[in-house]
Amino acid sequence: MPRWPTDRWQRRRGIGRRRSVETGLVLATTRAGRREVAACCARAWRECVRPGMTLSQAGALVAGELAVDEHEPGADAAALTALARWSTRWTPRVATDGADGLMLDMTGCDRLWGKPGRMARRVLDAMDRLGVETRIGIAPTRGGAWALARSGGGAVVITDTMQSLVDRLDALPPALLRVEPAEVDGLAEVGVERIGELRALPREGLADRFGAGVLRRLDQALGLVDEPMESVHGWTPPSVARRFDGPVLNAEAIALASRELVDGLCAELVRRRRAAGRVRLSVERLDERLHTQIAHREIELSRPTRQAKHLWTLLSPIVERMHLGRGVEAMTLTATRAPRREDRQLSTGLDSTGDVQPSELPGAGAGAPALPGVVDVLSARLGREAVRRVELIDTHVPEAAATTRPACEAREDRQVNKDRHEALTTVRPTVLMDPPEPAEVVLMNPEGPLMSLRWRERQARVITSVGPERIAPRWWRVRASTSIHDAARDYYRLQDDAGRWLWVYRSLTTGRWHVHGLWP
Amino acid sequence: MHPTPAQTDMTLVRDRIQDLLDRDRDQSTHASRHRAALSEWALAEPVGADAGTGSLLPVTWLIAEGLRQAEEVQVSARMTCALACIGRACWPYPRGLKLDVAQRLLLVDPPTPDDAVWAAERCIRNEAIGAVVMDGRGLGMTATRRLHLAARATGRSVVMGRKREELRRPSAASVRGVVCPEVSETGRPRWSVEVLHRKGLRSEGPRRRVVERCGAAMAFVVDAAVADGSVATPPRYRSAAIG
Repeated sequence: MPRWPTDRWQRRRGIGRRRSVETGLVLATTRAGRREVAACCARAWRECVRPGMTLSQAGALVAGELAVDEHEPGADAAALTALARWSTRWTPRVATDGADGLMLDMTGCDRLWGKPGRMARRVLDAMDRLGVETRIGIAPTRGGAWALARSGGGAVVITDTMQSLVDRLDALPPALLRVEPAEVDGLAEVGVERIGELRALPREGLADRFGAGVLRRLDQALGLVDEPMESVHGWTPPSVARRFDGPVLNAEAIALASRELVDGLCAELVRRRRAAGRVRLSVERLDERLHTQIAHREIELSRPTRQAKHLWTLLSPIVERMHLGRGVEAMTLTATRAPRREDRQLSTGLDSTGDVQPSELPGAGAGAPALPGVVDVLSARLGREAVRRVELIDTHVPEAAATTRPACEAREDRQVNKDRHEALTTVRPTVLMDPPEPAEVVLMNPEGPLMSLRWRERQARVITSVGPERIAPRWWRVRASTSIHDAARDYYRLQDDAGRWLWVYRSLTTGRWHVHGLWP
Repeated sequence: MHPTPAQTDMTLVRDRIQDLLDRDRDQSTHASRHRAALSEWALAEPVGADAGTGSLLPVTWLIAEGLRQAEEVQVSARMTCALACIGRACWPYPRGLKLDVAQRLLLVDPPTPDDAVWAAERCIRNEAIGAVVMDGRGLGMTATRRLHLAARATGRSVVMGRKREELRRPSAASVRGVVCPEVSETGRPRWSVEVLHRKGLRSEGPRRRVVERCGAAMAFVVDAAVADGSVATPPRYRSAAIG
């Protein structure tokens, strides 16, 4: 990433990389009492601005306006580390490389990404979206990849085999072996201007003549010397573990240990200023054949919490019903989703780490009990999908106008047209049937009032009929849909001679009648 | 022929329903003391009509009664309360309810009857829930006793839907009744609500009302003439008096 400092500067200010084409950008630093260029954008580079020249020289070279700001190498390094952690989505082994590069170990990733070129394009596209100018080199060795990325051979340079890598390296200057500038000068004095010429020299005298670094870097690029990589560590979720001295079959001991884990996890969350949105309990136990097996159980919370009491309320039923096998050897409690949660001082005087939350219900007063608490308890035992809230959708189609979603999903309620909703409530049934049930209707004449209804193999005389209310289909689905509901329908509210009210419709496409709702 | 029911406001409607359920009234203050209870309701089959909806619960009445109970809790606790509906058979169609009522529903679909009882008890014991409506078909005496005790302990109500024949079996419910559809000339759904059994409450008082659904808040307009007893309307459903 040759423009990493300026790309980061622009990204932080929400400026797209291509805007630098209009005005040049230079990041400056003070060295030996004079202001020098530390980094420059692509436009300034094309105008021959280089790191190390004075600002006045840079200003004279760039036609038009030149933006100048302070260089922040510390911030660049921190952002590069964060970018390395972000890049673990492609491979688990990522390391920062110098002040402006990343090294990704692609060993074993071909099963996921396919050919190296495919992965390289993905990385390039992702970096482009981030606004970071990137060049990628892919080679069998770390040194070789470094050289190819900086060789100027294009945005992506790939060598699959050692021989092809050697052929490419031979044409490149020795500076791309990551040797020191003084060593490069020493090689230039004797006319070595290509790596191939360096390789042709006798190995025995290289270290003595040009320095140990030259031989070492050459061997690393050719894969003759191993070059370990210290990869960055991704985000580690808050976790506490407990290992027993031997298999434990005592349920009380397991419960006590679990409670201690909960307390420990909450303390860890407080320390890291986070709250648990999803918690996983992992249990190592012995099976019938005395093999160790690991069982996991996860709980999702409707609102992140770090209250030990609440977490224990959700976990204790799981611990009670846990199958101990031939004995539990270890337990781990992990907050797999733990968003940041700062301490806050509450006006009610409760503890600053408390999770008192106002009720989600409209019109709730301050200090109302939290509905999410009972949602979590119900969801932990019955399952996430068994506890639901209503979700209204602004559509005229009855079966699509209302649905449900898991109550533990923290989501803003959709805005619904209240006037339209209230206008229809008196003509909508109490119960909607899914799917609508077929019925047979007898009419006085083809366009006349309904006389009788046969439904669920029962005959009833219709004494009141209100309608029709025509509901048009969703025109954007009519051609693609084979559903009987994506057709225009005429709805009627019928009362039979027993006093039952039914909501029936006739499909204008098929002419068939269905019972869609009731007022039971 | 039923006389045209008088338009009444919510206060009068509430009083009439309370008369029906025979709540204790403090005569000096004319305030109603809410007596939390487990009540059971079944959808009755009208005499002479072919049963087409016998397998359903009286959802309209259950939701209306649950909302009324939750409203009483809201007034006393001064906060908005949710209505928990346990069992898919008693989940209402939200578009038939007022917007704020639909948004206050908590819908629970327990996999087993034991889970249903457990969920109802957890909801009843939560302060944010004003009342519980549940599908109680198949529950025995032990379950009803557990729910009744929880309701009495917390001051909240459980409104349970049952099958018609289950009202003959032992239960800890303090109120058991049937809801039967009635023919209506007003264009609004109408039912007769009859209390078959009231435990530990005054034995006198009206046992039957004819109600119509009024508006989206699930309020009921009560047939004034029938409530006054000036018009005798014999029950039109098959029933057996239970003690």
